[in-house]
Amino acid sequence: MLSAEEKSEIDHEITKFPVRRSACLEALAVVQRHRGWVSDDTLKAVADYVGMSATELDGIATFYNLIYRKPVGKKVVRICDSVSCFIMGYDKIRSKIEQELGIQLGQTTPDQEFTLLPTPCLGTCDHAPALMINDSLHRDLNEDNVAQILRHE
Amino acid sequence: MPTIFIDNKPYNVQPGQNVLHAAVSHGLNLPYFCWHPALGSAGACRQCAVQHFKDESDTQGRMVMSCMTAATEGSRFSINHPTAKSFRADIIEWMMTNHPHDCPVCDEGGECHLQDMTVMTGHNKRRYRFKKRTFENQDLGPHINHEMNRCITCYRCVRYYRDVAGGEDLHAFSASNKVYFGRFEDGPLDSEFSGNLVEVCPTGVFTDKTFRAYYSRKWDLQTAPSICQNCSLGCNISPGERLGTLRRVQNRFHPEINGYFLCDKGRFGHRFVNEKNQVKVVHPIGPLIKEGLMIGIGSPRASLEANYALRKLVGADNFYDGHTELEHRLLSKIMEILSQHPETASLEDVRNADAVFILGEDLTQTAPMLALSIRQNLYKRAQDGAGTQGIPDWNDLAIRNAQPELPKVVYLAHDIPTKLDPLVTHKISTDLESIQDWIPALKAAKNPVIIAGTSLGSEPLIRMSIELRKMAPQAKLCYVLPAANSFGLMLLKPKSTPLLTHRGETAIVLENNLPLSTLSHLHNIIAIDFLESETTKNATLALGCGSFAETTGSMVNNEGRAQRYYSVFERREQRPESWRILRDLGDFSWQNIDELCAEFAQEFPIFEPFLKQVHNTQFRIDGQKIARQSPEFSGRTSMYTNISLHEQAPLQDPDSPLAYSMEGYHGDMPPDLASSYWRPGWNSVSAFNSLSHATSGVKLKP
Ligand code: SF4
Ligand code: SF4
Ligand code: FES
Ligand code: FES
Repeated sequence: MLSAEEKSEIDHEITKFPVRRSACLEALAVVQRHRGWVSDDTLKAVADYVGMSATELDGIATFYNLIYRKPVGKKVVRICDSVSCFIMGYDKIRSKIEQELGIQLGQTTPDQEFTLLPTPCLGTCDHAPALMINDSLHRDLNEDNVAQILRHE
Repeated sequence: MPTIFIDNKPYNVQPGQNVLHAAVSHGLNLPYFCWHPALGSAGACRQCAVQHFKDESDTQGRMVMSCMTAATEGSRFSINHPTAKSFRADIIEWMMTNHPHDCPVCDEGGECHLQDMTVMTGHNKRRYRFKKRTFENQDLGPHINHEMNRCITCYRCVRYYRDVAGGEDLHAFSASNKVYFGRFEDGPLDSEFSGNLVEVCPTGVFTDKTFRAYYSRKWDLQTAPSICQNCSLGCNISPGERLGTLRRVQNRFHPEINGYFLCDKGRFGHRFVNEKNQVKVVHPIGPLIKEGLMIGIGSPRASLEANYALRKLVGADNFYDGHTELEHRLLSKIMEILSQHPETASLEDVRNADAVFILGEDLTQTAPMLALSIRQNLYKRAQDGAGTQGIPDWNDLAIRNAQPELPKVVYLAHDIPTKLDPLVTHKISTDLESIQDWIPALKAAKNPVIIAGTSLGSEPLIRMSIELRKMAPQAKLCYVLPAANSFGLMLLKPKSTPLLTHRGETAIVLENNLPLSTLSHLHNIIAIDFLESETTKNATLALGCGSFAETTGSMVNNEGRAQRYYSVFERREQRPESWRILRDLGDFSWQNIDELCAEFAQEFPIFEPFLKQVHNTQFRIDGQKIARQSPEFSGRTSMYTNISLHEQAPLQDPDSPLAYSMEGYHGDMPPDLASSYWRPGWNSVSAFNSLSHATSGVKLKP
């Protein structure tokens, strides 16, 4: 179920911990890097590989919002909904994006390009409102520039 | 005993208790969720807030969580302080924002800790007007029903299931307002102790699915104190009946045996009481005309009284063991050992031992609560370790953080993988070559327990247990026996089974299903049993008796503790006790169990201390019998109108101080007579916290 490459990357993570199962979160990140998300079968395979029950590993996987337990689009838009961004117009930015992409929070566009998710504070409150698209941060958003950003990402 | 002050009144508390535990033990109405007497404190739900004052002159105080605060000498608290009160009201209001509004259709309703706490806090109006979060439920198998919308995220379920019972297939998922408690995917829960979720969960998330199949409210159940029949440990149970069917079994606290928990066999293994294939009751039965040789074959699943009556009928010389020949040999050896070393270990001794040595028993299968006690033991060792670091016994999360390593106290000899293996420090095979390795640990231990038993049919293992005991005189012995009353039957000194060598003219087989090979050698069989079996089908005469749930009798558990179980109900078409059938066959005169026991004690003085102590038919409180039905029991006048329009008179119970009625005594009572926990404002099992935790039963020495 896990590829040789995934296994060797997980093995490498395991060397960093005193206990094999402690590497479980890193192992999930490894398979997600390769597959884009973590399916039930993948999760079971990882659980077996690090030596814990699927139930226990899923408890960990579902706790973290950066481990995806459903398929996501190529670009994951994570819009900050914490206090500063909320005050600075999160609502409007969010509606604008929803309108642009034709999806709601938690959904993926039919062409599998975009997934829209909420995120807690991105640590850039002085430039709120903010969002991330995959690894790049976008700040000082307003209704005009956000459409632009989506198009250019 | 420290004294603390709550709302300016002094209370004596147990040393080392937290304030919440102390308060609820005194019957004070302090609401809480995440604390549980067997799980300790997590400080997670914030429901148990009280005000803590520096001294007498401090009127302001500061808020603390009572479950996370030690009840130290002279400390002062207030439950009624307005700040703490309004804080608790806010907590419950938050907790209830997502909760459904439908107690009347919820299985927990009427015995719900959440319901009680909500009422206690005074939250009776919802201000929250938004959408509630909703979940999908899972199919958790035949025993446990799941309704996640009722969850208040107290985390008791996972703290019990994972931390206490060692289950790996139940967990908390997701985060913040969406935390979900369940399995990775639908499917039956793996743990042999899953049923305790029903009592541990303070809401209607985890409820008894077998009960739900034929449901009744708690107050409509008739209950009586009973003893589990499914293995030799003698756990205390409380079965509940309505309209002639046994609906469910709940835990009945016994400090030295099962404590707060039962295994799933004990909780769900009682359905046979409702089976249709019951042996027909024959009466009246005239006295037996004795012709030729008559032998009796007793039973380790029948009461002492029934076995005694059989022995009396056929005579000591013709009274045979209902165990197999091999079991008889092993049991005789065990009895011989225990006559010289009578200090047997209770489950509480196992929980407290500093080392446990197991010889050839797969405990999770043969004596499940013993396996759970070993898990609890490891936690107690962790508590001890954390104690040396200044962490109190109740501070659960701190203990688990401070003691991440498993204590090295469990030694196991077995040839197959067992569920306890992950907890075992040293595992060897049953040929015991490497047993020498155990000796230093055994000798060094202060209060070790040596566990062996009959399940592998190995005499060398039993002999090894006594060899080990000789090396460590401080050790207590614990034997796992074949059935609920194996110990009791052996005390009646039956002869080894006659089968194959000895052909009786007539054999009376008491509550026992013998192998066909044996049956074919018996000439004439009179079988007494509750359900049909090969034996009753092959019998010349089959006589139907009542099950444990509708009869009163005594059993002796694996530690030699004699206990009485009381009949929970009587069917409309009454089924007699086996001893009454035998009485009629033998033309004896006993009118009730007391009369039989008086004769019994004379013949077997060993039972005298027990029979003196047991609450016999004469016992009354305030001049009354104890009511099996609650004062709120409904439908009394109409529940049998399908049979007759006239209200049926309550049935009489000649064998116990209990009545099949709502009328009678309802208050506090001796622990061996209590079967339903209830106090004003406390309708759930939590009511138990303020009731007697005393022990019961009498230990006998072979
Ligand atoms: S869990 Fe308790 S409070 Fe909730 S609906 Fe059921 S009975 Fe009512
Ligand atoms: S399921 Fe029950 S025990 Fe578990 S967290 Fe929810 S309310 Fe508490
Ligand atoms: S609140 Fe959005 S970046 Fe801090
Ligand atoms: S019971 Fe004290 S915080 Fe939950």
